[in-house]
Amino acid sequence: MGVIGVEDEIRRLLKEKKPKEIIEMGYARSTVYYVAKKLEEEEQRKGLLNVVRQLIHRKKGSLELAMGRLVFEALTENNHLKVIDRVCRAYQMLNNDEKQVLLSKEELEELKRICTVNTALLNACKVRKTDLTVYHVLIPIPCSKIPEYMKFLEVDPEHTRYIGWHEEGVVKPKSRSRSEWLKDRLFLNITDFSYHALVSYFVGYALPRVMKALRRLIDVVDPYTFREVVLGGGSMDKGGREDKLHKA
Amino acid sequence: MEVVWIRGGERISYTKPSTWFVMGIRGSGKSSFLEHIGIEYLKRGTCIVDLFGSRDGEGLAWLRSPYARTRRILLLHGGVKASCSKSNVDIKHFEDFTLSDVERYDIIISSSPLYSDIEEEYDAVNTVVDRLYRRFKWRRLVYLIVREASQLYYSRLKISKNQSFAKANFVYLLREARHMGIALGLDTLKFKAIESDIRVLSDYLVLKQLGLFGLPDDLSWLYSFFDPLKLQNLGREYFIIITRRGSIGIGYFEYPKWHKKEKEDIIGKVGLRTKM
Repeated sequence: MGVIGVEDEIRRLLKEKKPKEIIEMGYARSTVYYVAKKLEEEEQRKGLLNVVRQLIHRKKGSLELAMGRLVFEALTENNHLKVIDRVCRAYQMLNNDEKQVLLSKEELEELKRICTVNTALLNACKVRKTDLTVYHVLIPIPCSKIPEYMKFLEVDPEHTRYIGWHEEGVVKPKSRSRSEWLKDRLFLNITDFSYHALVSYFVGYALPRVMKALRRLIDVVDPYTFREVVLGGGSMDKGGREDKLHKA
Repeated sequence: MEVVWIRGGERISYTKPSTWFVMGIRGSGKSSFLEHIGIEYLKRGTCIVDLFGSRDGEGLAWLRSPYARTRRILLLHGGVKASCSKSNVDIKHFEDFTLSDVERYDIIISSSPLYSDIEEEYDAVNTVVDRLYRRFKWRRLVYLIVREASQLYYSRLKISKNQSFAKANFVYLLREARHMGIALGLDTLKFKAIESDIRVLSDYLVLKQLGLFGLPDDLSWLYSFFDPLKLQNLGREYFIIITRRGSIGIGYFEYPKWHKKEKEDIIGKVGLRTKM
């Protein structure tokens, strides 16, 4: 066994035994204490780097300001679908590591589903026909995933009234068959009453989960940055909006 | 000691007469940090003079350090006579302290239990400091540890006309220290007004756990680098270091196991016998 091999072996043994015990096994005293000292220095270095990571402030940059803005809008928005939208957008700006620090894998997947449905409901197209108003809602989910994505409807035993396949107004691409295309889309053509009921059920389910995610997001934003955003006021939406602080 | 530099970066020198200023709450490890710096200086041939410590004699802990057996140690006393069984430890009255003691001994300790009262201790400190400041030429560096640095100010107050003169005298001592071959290790002062004057003169400013009151106003810019909450609760072995050149780092030092603990009878533990 070479020198490096012996050192690795001693390193492995030091995790379970004390240096004296390892020396009694026949290893050279000087080598055992040398490796033990090296291990101790590595542990100290790791501890120091951990403290460095905890101590250092994240540098305030454009991303943090944008996050602060989205958090502020989520807290002050009246429209619940828009609240959910702001939180979804904030999470979409984070990289995978940052997301996983805040939410578990299951929570992230749930949030992703909520974001998909929310976007669809927010972008629903209102069509006035002669005798009634209908909403066209396109949720880009395959048929097999409907139970997962529409879980919020389970509270209502009559929920299947809101879901159905409608062919009117569907545009099919030439390269794929009709049935294949339909499998990737959930297209709702529903009355305005059904639309609002759908939104209520969705918000009732999604909002508590989204607020929990928002709470975790707030911890990430530096209070000084948030204060700057709050005092700065204004909106990221096109067309502008009055500063909410000055309303009242 | 290891430092991770987050701005700039430099090699810390233990062969120059630098001034170290340590800030932190009680129990944050300021004294032990100054001791650790002393060890680094000692390894490079410097003479340590441990001048001021807590009233319970924390400076005497050097007598049970790993250097107690191999280094020559001098204990200064006043009205309280002391005897020690260790052959490498000499004891003399503070009035007999001379500059040649700095060449002869590696560690010189002046500790509160060896004086009748605080007034006598101040006299001893003034005597030692005044003699050290007559080192117009020097070969060996001296590292002066002043744990409760406000005490040094009080001792100068004793020989000064008034507070302003004492403050000026104190600042003068700090400014001239490097010319006399004296490296200084000071910890926080109680008087905020003096602190900013000292910070300006220090080569290394060290922050330990800051607790409730945080950084002074003129150092609050450091909050743009460090999380205030984490700075409040920094572990004893960790510190922030800011150098005269503007480098900023986060460091770790090995806490001396022989450092005196609270309630400990250090005199008994180091084998000293005292007599008033």
